[in-house]
Amino acid sequence: MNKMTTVKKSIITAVCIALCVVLPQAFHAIPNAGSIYLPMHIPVLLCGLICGWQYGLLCGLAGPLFSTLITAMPPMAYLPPMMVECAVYGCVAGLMMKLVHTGKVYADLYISLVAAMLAGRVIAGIAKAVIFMPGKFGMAMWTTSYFVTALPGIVIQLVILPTLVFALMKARLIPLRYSKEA
Amino acid sequence: MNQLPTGMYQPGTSVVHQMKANIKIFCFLILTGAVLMAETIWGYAVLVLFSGCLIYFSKIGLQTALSSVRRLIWFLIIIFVMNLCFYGPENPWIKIGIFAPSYEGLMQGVHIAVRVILMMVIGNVLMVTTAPLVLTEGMETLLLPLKLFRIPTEQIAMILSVAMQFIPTLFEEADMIKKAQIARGARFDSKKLLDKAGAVMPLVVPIFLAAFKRADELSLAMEARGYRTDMARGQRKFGMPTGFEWLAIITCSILCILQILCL
Amino acid sequence: MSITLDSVFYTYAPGTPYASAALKNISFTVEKGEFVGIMGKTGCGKSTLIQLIAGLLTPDSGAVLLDGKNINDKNYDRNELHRKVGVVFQHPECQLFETTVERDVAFSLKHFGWSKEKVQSAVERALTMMGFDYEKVREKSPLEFSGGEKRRIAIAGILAAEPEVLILDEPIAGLDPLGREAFLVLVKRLNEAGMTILMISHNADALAEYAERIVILKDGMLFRDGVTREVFSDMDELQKNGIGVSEARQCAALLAERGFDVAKDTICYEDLLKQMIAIGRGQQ
Repeated sequence: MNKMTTVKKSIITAVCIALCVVLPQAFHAIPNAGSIYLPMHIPVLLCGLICGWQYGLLCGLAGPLFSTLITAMPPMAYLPPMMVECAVYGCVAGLMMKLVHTGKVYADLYISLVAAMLAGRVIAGIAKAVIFMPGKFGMAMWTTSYFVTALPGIVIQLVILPTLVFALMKARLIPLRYSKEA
Repeated sequence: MNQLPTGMYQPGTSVVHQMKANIKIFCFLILTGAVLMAETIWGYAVLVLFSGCLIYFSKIGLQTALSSVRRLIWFLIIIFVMNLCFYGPENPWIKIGIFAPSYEGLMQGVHIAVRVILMMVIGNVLMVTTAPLVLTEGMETLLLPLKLFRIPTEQIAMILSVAMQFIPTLFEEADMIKKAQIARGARFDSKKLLDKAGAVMPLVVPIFLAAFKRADELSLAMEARGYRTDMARGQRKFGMPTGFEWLAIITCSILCILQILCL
Repeated sequence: MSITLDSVFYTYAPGTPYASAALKNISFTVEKGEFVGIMGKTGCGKSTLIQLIAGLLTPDSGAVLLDGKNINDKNYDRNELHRKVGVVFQHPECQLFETTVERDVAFSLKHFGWSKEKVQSAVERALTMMGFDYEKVREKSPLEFSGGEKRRIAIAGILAAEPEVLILDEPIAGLDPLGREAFLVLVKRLNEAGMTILMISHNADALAEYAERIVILKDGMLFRDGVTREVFSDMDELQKNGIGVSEARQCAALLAERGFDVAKDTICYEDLLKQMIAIGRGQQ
């Protein structure tokens, strides 16, 4: 398989947006899954990694929005900061995959993922402090909500996302990054 | 997850139901602005009154309008108490350890609670009176001006509507996969962090594989039929706003301007 | 292991405007070692039925009993249930996720507390049973195989746990004729070794050849339950209700219409052939 066409990238983005709605529902039976596993971040990051920054950005904006429209989760009041966070995840993941070419898929994936997850948290934190909750959102709150409580989710995402990319390559559903590997 | 959550939409014939989706979203955005701008008691009073009228005209009932507020009631109480006790420690009524409830804290707590409740009620009215698919179509028409910035609005519109149509299918598939893995003895209740990651693998990996397989099939079919992303696409024509819709837009705008200028 | 359903009711999405009764007052018992075919039109409640038996859904009222014990009792051991009852869903190839075939097939064995050797031999046996060369495939990714092979790997993953009851939902749909036959022969062999089989299928020919008993659902209710031969002999009534019978049975009916002496309970090819030979001899 060669490079993906625009149509294919578009449809993959559509599927990832749909998964932003479906995945949190699938995790429903697991207690506290929403805050522990952060399931909505997975399709957004994956979309950015695979399709590129424009698509990741769209997925990050539309995914949480659709989820609110259809399942009323996250609630309207949380939606704007969530959209900012996810949009940065998708966008930065895509940009980094374009910039970083170490020759090893795993290395590329991890560098891009960590960069995206950091950038998303920093920018969402700034947005909260400046726009959404001016004066009430400080450093301590940022560290707790984005790193301490989110730690399990971060670990899980770092394990799951590279596995997913490799599984999709193995199943020949997305093209290989370097022709030698996999 | 036996059934796809059908969202909040409830069919109806009220004047709010009959408004065009794009106008409703536009009004919603203006109203959100108005809520964010409100600073004084009078400002909030006007907005509460307006929300009351909105609920009355949409005939959805107070229960439905407040449904998601009830779900977050504990969150609201905690936010309220935290603001009450920690916000303005300069001249508290009473000081017990670190708790220092004050008049400023009380006002700040009310301020935030009312703001969240107002946003939710307005959002609920929008979502209860508009079917999700129509809502996305409304968003698409609002995206059109972005064309000026060379943003491919048709492609975005296509992606959004395909996404909407994929949701029920993927939902059923995810449900089947989950059941199949439970029947194979999968467990999602492990305590250790790395085990947790391991436990979600049997759920997440197959869901993504199945979803990407569908994406692959659909994109091949679309390309085979000669679809290109730059092609224009049949779009719902919303047409010009009716008199009532103009009235709604103007009312919302006045409300927003009032909040910025005077209240 | 016997399975008993005692006046089971099940409703989808209760308490919402979308509520619909999926199963109404279902009662029957399947004894150990039976091979039961389950038929019915799409949406008649077949899939709901097997999910209830596998403990994936809980009935609104009534009970599902395995060996006389209610599986929805609080102190019923769920692990025991998942070990004894294996379910092959439609498109089982969708449930593969591990990095190697061996790990995927061994997935359900993880919780059994078996020794490494026992797990390995169970995996080897299951893969061999499904027609794979264990040494050749064990280290490969299950995702690299073709659709049909993936399905066989997934089924190996279910057979590896050595279930006492095997439930199959349309297992042969989408297989080529040879693969279909080979798979049915395998299921029959497992059945002869003592495994209870419940198989949902639209394929009346397959059920006529292999199932001893047929259960037919209609609009969530039990419509027919009996020995395959007897159920299929009532062809007109079944067809009126949108349920197909085997080709051999239809052929026998056509012959009978033209005045030949063919028994009503001719449902499989072997029977039909014998009778046609007899008719041919008689005419000579």
